Amino acid sequence: MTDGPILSVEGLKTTFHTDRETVRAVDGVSFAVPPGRTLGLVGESGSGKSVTARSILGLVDDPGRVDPSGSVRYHGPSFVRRIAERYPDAVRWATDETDGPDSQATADPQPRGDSSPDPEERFVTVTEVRSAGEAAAIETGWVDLVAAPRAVVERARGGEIAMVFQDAASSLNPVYTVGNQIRELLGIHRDVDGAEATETAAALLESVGISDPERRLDEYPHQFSGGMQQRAAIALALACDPEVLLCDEPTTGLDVTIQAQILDLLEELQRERDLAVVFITHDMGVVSRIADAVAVMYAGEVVERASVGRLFADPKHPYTRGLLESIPGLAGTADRLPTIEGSVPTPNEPATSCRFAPRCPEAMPECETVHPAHVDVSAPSDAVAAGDPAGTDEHTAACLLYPEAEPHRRRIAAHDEDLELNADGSTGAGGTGEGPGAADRGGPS
Amino acid sequence: MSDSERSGADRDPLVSVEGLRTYYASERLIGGKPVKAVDGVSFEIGRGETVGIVGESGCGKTTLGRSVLRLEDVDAGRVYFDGRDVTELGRRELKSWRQDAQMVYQNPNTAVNERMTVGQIVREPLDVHGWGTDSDRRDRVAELLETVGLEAEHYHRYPHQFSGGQRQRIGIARALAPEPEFIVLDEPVSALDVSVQAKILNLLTDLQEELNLTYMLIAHDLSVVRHVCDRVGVMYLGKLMELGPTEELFRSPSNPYTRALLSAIPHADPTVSQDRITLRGSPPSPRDPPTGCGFSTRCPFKIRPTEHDAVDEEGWTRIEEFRAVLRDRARNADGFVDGLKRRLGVDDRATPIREVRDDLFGDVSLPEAARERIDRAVATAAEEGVTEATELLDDAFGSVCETEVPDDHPTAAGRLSRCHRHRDEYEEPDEYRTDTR
Repeated sequence: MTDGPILSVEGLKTTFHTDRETVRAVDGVSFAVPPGRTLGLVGESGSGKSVTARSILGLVDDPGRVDPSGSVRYHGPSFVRRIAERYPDAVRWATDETDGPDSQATADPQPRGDSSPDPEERFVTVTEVRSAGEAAAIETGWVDLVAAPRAVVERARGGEIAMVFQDAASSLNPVYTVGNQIRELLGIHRDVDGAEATETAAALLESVGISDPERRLDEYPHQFSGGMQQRAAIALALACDPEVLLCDEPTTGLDVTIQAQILDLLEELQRERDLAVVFITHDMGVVSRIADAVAVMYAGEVVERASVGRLFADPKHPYTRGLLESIPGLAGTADRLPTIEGSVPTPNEPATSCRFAPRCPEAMPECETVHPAHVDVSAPSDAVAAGDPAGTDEHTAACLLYPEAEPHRRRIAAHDEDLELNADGSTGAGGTGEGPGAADRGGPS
Repeated sequence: MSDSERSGADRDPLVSVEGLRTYYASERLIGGKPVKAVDGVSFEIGRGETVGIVGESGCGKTTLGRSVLRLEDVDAGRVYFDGRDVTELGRRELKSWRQDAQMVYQNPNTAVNERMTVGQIVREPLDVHGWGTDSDRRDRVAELLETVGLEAEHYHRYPHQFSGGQRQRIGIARALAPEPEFIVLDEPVSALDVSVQAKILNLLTDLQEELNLTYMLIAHDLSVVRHVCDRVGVMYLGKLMELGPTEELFRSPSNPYTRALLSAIPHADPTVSQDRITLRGSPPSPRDPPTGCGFSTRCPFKIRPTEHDAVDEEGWTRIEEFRAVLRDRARNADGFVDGLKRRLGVDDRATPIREVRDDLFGDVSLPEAARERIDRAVATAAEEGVTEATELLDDAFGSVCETEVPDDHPTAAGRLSRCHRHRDEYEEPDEYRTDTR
């Protein structure tokens, strides 16, 4: 398998429809995580980070709805193979399509025609096939968990993509022993039971750093301390050997010393198992400690994306800057902390403007009318200075201030397709070529 | 704050706490031990000063704050406010004193009565203390709301119409209402997002300057404490482990626990390389604290008996882990049900101690003397019981850290640290481990 992502999210939209309003909790979020890497998803409460994680696993409750226009692509090859075998009609061969984002993939002639009924329902995409005898083995591809039927999502959940929640106490069942809960999971997903299940469960508890695991298996969650409960919850998440771990504020309720233990543990487990981790948090300190790349969310949108080194060394989006400045201890010894005026809005209107504009110290009139797209803000010269690990040097921000080098008018045009059409030729033609088209879809590469 | 200023504050403290103890009685009918939530804490807060109390959850910091305000029944010790012993106050005096000493609570969502309007909430203390006339109170509330950054028009609104940050402002306005001199801030920003947190911290700083307030800030977020406090006390298991001026304490912590705590804070700057001390386990239960120093079960700086000098670092880690397992088992064996099971011989669920030993020590080499002690403990556990085996291990591998409660040692001007390593006969913490500076 190539270095592609194991999980990629493209234009994910989740809306909650109520009588009063429609809340666009997640509004066009895109990101990708390669195996063995950690993506930090940061934002304040109400920015939509938890809903993003729940949408990935199909755990959004009524009245929430994940919009079919977005996609959650899971790339685990064995899973794609299994699902493709089971739902042959749902397979879309990338060669059939011309507009697939990865259409450069090798065109492999397939015996299967495009006879399958509705292309809408073809949720498995295969981009690369290796011919091995008569049966061609699927090399790369993805399963779109937004389009896939419930049964497929449920197979992915736990076994391929697992989740660790903020409140460990409530993700464990108080009336069953910890051992029973792990054994039950092993029975469902891995078909292991009896003495073998007990042994595996003990090994799992040991792997998350719980000493004397056999005895602990017979204890109830309330007999565990907060840190141990979170360890047990992580053991539960790992029970089915997932490829991707979604961590939703797993250390938020914990003390710093326990938090440090859990972060160490997650790093160790990630190394051992080559896990891809999506780590959701509001704590910039935790992100800087654990993440390789960061996506900053604001009011349902990702406003900036960068490697962790770049984001902290050279934040571009005014919101990211404000957020970093308001952390006590970073702003030096100043008596007053810099603050961001106002509060996070509820994203209940379609995004036709910049949602941060009302609070932004650098807002201009266009911010009210143009919805900013992601543009490349990485200056190649400071890539080295920021100590970038190779391969994560993408840095984009959704803000009308960028691309910085362009004159005002062309800059705005880079974000606004309408304006570009109406523009008077002189400025429109040149500035658009590499601007939005290339940088906009920063997802899988 | 400079040294001269600080000692000035020391001469005339507003609040002076001496040997404060707050115990909660056990809920068990027989054989229960009290929870020593606050166990002999002494410190002073100067006028206009902000003293922070930090520590992990369960260390007793909130109880300390409540005890200082006499919201808890104190078992021993004194709290002097402006020279007056408030632990002696009768009901009537206490009520009138509470106008001077107020509290802001952690969770702005639960600290206010949802059925009262904002005006009623802020006004309640004024009503209770019979402050002025009706219209005076009304004006005062309007003024207070503006002071904390809300609007006078918010008087008739209900708390649910406000965000978390605004609710905390309501809580602050309420605390300010009777014009106190001293406010205990119990985790005032921990439920808030950073950008909101910054605003509340700024507000508190402004109010302190304007109204000449004295704060005791209870927090687990060390960066908040560093930003706001003049002096900090670090609490562990009901005791103050270290006390000193904020910047000095953060820059060069004396006490091993302070070091561990500080090194665990993740810096919001990936270029800062941290030497982290990761502590094992979680704090012991205050119902059953370790003998000697409370931190001894997790301390990476623990004094080791000289006869086992030959044991290497990894060996010690395993020995401590082994001791922790046995200690844990011994504690459970005390329980009624477990005791019964053991007596009936049905306690076969746990791994035999022998196997625990083999797991832990299988891949490390221990000197003969140490190995012999461990083997003897394993044999004792099988023959006599886990409690006896634990005692044997305490005897073999324990040290002064586990037998004596450390004293407060002055480590610099205005600084105290509670650790045996400050005694002359032992290496100072920073001599012992130089890798964590």
